[in-house]
Amino acid sequence: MARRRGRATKGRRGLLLGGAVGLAVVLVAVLVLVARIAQSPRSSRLSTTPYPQVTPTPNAVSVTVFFDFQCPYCGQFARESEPKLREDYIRRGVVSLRAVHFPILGGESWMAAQAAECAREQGRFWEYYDLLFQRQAGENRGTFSPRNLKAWARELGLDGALFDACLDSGRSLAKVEQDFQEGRRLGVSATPSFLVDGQLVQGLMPWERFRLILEDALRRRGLSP
Amino acid sequence: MDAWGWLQVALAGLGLGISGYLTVSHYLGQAPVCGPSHGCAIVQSSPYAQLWGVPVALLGLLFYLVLASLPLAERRWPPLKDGALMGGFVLALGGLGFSAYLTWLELFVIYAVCWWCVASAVVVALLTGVTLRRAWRALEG
Repeated sequence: MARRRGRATKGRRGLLLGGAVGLAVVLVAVLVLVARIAQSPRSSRLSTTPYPQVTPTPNAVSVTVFFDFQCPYCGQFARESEPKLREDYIRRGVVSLRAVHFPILGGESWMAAQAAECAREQGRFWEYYDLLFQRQAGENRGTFSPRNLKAWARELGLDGALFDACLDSGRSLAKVEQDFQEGRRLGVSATPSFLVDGQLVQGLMPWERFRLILEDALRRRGLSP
Repeated sequence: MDAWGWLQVALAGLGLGISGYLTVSHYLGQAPVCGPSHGCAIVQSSPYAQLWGVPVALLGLLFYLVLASLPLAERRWPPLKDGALMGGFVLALGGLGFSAYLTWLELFVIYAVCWWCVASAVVVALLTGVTLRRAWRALEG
């Protein structure tokens, strides 16, 4: 009798613990599923203001930004001012933006710039640019290691083999060097620097000041600010 | 409450300290102190550190808060004891599984290890053991 009761207690205990483990497994599965959906690159903060696929009007104001992926002020510009620039001006076609590499902070700046050019080969420069600025974390600390740069290309859905071949071959280095020389010729000495319709403005500035410079340029071209 | 109950409170308190520090550094926009690897800054600035804008560290904070409160609730409301013991075990095991997923992300997706996150995973593993033992003992009784 006592043995039977003991067996029944053991069975109940096993059942309860089994049920608890089952519940925990379901809990983990739900959490991981939610995390996978929430953390997919498409729904991350990166795509909140994607670069507008708009052809600029013929008399659009041209803005060139000289930047370094490791420079924190460039990151601040990319994360805080650029979404407004894209939304309010580039989307309307009245401003065209060109990003020119000006890697002045060391090896990982050059590596990141080359990787961005490899993303350009697949038509995804701006998405990769946004991603690198989101991942910025200090200077030459391994953040922009080839391994990370390749993994992030895959995260964005780029062709991994093509991207790796591009980065490993160093074929995009010439383009980065050409960009760097362009900045030097123009007298760029800080990042970010901007060329707004030929007028060089160096260093990060508050969005409101940048907007005033843009609006002056728009008025000069007869475009409404 | 027995020594195992207090051990659960103490471990959850340790987890609260870790996740609290990571939550505060997230909202202050500062990289957590991390030693020479700088992995914490990389992990914390990655999109995997948030779920729809909610920092994972904040979720961890709530998780530890519940695990720390359960033994105290058992003490205050004895009829809830069995439910709290099993609930604590389910929660801790679920947390362990999710920590394993986050560690996998660090090693194979982000390629950076945050030692605070590793410490939290160890605390969750210990909490799973403690809550399992407490639930087991209650079922024996």
